[in-house]
Amino acid sequence: MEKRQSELFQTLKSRPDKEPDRKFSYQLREKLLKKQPQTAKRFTMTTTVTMLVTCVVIIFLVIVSTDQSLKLKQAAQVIDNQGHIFSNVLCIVLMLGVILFIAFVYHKGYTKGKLVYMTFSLSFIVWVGNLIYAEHQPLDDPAMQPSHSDFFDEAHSQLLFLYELDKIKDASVDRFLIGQVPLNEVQEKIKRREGQ
Amino acid sequence: MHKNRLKIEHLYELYHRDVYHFALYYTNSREEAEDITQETFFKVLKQLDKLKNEDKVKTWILSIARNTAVDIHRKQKIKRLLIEKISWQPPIKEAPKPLEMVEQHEQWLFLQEALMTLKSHDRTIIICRMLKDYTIQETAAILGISEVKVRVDFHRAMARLRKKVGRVD
Repeated sequence: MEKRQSELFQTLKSRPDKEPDRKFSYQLREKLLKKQPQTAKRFTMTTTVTMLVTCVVIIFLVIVSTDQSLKLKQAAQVIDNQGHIFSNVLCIVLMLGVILFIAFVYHKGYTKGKLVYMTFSLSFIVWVGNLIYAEHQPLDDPAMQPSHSDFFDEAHSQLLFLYELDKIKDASVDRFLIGQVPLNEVQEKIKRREGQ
Repeated sequence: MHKNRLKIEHLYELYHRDVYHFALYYTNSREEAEDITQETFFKVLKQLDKLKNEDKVKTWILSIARNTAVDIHRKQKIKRLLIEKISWQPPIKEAPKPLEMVEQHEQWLFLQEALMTLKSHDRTIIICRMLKDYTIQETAAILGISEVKVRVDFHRAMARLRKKVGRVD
């Protein structure tokens, strides 16, 4: 088995097309000698974008997790004190998670590929952009707008009528109590009752 | 500038065959191997100033070659797959010429084809250890992993290759 294996590797080591083409070797050497050595740029466009976006995300998360100056538009946003603490803790955990993830990506050098740079940057741009847009363009909550209903309109008009009637009654009682009703009318009524 | 030119010429003379061999074993294609060799030495020229430890120049160049090979081979693979999908045709198998028929019976081709079915990491380890006879330390430096991991991964890769060769046989 071992012998067969080493034989196979020996045959592959001496494959017939193993050596590079002479013409190719010569041309490549010429190209290398002619080519001006370019030093690698320390900061490329993608690096700058990624760094900037990372900073923005960190600042954004710090703001959100400390004093909630940018209120998140969430349907089920908790408003009581306990819920507020819970949301703060959640934001801090989220922030730490993101920071650790960013540190991991930078540490491992996964940012070397341009595709990774761009994906990483774009995803955060979209995320932050979406939240900022939601902050500045608050949409009317559809749950707060009554939908059109004939029953609702009828009931509403009846209630309005009853309300108006109550208002008239109250007004006449008030007028009587504060003496706006003429005195002779009252005296006549009293005499009539006495006569009866 | 002149110093760099002399340096790159010297490095090219010393290592261009090693890089080409590695690329050829990795891709099994002369065109791709040439592209990889060219791209590797352009990268070496670009980053020549960063090289501080002259003793590790060989593993440094080969690690660049390895990364370049992975990138170029992946791109070529995607390109081939896309062309196949777009043209909506199964890959055309040319009728073997008499010379190729002779070559197909050669043993090296069996092993090379089996090698091509392995994952990139396994293939690289086998090329370094078995075909280029690099030491464990050199292989570890090229792959950027520990020597212990090289040993373990090498045994696993060989076991996988044996399985494949067994099937081919």
